[in-house]
Amino acid sequence: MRLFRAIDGFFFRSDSATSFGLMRAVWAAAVFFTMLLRSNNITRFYSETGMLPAAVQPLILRQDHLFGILQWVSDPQGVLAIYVILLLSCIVMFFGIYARASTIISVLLFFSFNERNPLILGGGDTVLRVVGLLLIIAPSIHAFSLPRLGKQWRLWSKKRTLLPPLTMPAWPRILLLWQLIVLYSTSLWDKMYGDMWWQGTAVAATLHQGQFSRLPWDWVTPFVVLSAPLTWGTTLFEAMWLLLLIPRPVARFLPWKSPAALKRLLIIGGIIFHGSIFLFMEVGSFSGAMFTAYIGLITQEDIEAIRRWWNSPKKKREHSIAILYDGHCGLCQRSVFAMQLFDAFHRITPVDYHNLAQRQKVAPHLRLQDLDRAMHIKLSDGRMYRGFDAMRVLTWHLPVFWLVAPFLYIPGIPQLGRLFYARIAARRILCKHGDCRF
Amino acid sequence: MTARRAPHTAPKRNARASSRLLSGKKRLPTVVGHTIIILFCVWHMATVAIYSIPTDGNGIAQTVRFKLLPIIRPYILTLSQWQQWNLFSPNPLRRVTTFHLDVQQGTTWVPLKSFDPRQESAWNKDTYMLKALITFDSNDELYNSSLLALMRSYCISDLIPQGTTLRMRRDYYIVPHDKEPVSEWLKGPPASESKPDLLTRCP
Repeated sequence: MRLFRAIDGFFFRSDSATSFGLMRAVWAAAVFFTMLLRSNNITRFYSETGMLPAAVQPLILRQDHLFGILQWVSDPQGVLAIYVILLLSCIVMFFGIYARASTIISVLLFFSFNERNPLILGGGDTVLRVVGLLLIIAPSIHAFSLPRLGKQWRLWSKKRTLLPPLTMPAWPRILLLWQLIVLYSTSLWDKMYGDMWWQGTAVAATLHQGQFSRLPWDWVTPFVVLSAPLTWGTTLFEAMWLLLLIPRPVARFLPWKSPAALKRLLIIGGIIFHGSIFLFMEVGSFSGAMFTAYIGLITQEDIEAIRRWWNSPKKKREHSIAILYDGHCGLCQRSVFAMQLFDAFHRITPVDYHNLAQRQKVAPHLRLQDLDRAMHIKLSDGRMYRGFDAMRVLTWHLPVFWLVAPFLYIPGIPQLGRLFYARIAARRILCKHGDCRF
Repeated sequence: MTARRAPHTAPKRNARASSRLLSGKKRLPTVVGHTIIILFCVWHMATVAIYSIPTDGNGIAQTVRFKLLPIIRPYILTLSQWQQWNLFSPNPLRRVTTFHLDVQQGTTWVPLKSFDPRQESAWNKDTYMLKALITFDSNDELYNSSLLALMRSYCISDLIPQGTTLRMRRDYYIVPHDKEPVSEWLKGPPASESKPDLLTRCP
């Protein structure tokens, strides 16, 4: 009985479903672009007039346990119609509209295309297929969706609070993690049958292989001395995924302390590894598919660990930011709502300045007239910013804006930004339902 | 009014269900449901792992895979979960092949389409077509019929008259072997060799 409870706890412990919801959206985007890259050759790849007509199929493809709509639809127009349905379905799935139905349709159609012509498939397609099945069967994949955003907004506009994160049992994430361990360990296993991975020449040979390499031959040759460390580094990275099988009680005594901490290190290593593959080699959707799978591995524990690390007092970062906004203005409410959604590090505390008690706590010295002219923010060290400058500071605290943040310092941009901000702030009362006339 | 963020807590319903199970008071349908899901997970994990065992070797693992294949194959294939992670292994591919499709006009051959990875832009390679051609190149006997079908597909897309002869030229070179010293790379790509041309007619 105790064993059953332990097993049940392992597979059914509750965790956040947000990362699986995000994985759903990224999977849909990855499949959309993967299939879009084949648009020039859809009928050539998948129809009766292409490389695998009915007469040729039995010579090359397996004929048993073969399902998929393209086994029945083979004329070019029909194949094109199904291709368009797949693309549209991926768009709907990306936004999470009818999340379960759109996921099932997209995944099954993607399976159909994969089964109809496996000759063009790469590792990325396989990763997307195995992740696709998990998305079909995992609960709560409607996290991170447009309908849920609507619910969030309705609750926020009434009660100024967000919904609690959706949860799901651990088993879909366990299956995903197992899949990645199998992928890396069997990939390593197969490499051990060759000799180039032992000798350290595999990376140099691959980067000289014109079919995959993005670099001209002459550019690669001066760097062949790096081949051995890179080749052995690759095998070491793949081997390290096996360490995730060490049980938590034993892992406590190892340098990384817990499997979760090791997993986070491996994900960071994987982003560098697959990112480098993407930069230097043309291997189809493989890197994108691996990033998609990594997203699904992120648990609430990981998110909180990253948050703790990022907000650690040693880093001397501002840990809380009060935003004083106009709670009577629709545009301001929506802006603050959006910022709170993007607030991955939980730093923002929105304060409606019409609430006297709250305002007195945060900024007693500010007059209502000043607050009415622009949004103000107050950092934990007491510094205050207003208008465009406040927005610019906030971009450093909201990860989705990190790429934009440096551009806001380019000479000329702040002046334009302040002008534009003042114009919007002055006319914000005219904005109804997000529709502003400037 | 200060906006609040809902704390991350497992829903009470889940917490109650979990505590009921731990105290042995969990409802029967939930226990049965959990058992089925756990058994499914174990089965799925086992089948995926067994199916992924590399086929390159000849050891006990491969024998086990071969013996269990009839049991796991229907599940893996039906759910489209087939996978072999022989990524750049056992050794990376060293053969680089270029393909040129020509159309016969009178007594001359006019180039119609060229698949040369070295000539394509680094960020705009025709990845999927190249993948197919690499597959074709790996086993002429097995894939010739498919390669001929691919050649004929250009008759339709490029409106080539019925009966016109098409030719596929294939040149290849092998990236130097691993045991060669670094100086081999410095010499640049080796000279290409040619495979016999493939000929077909537009239907």
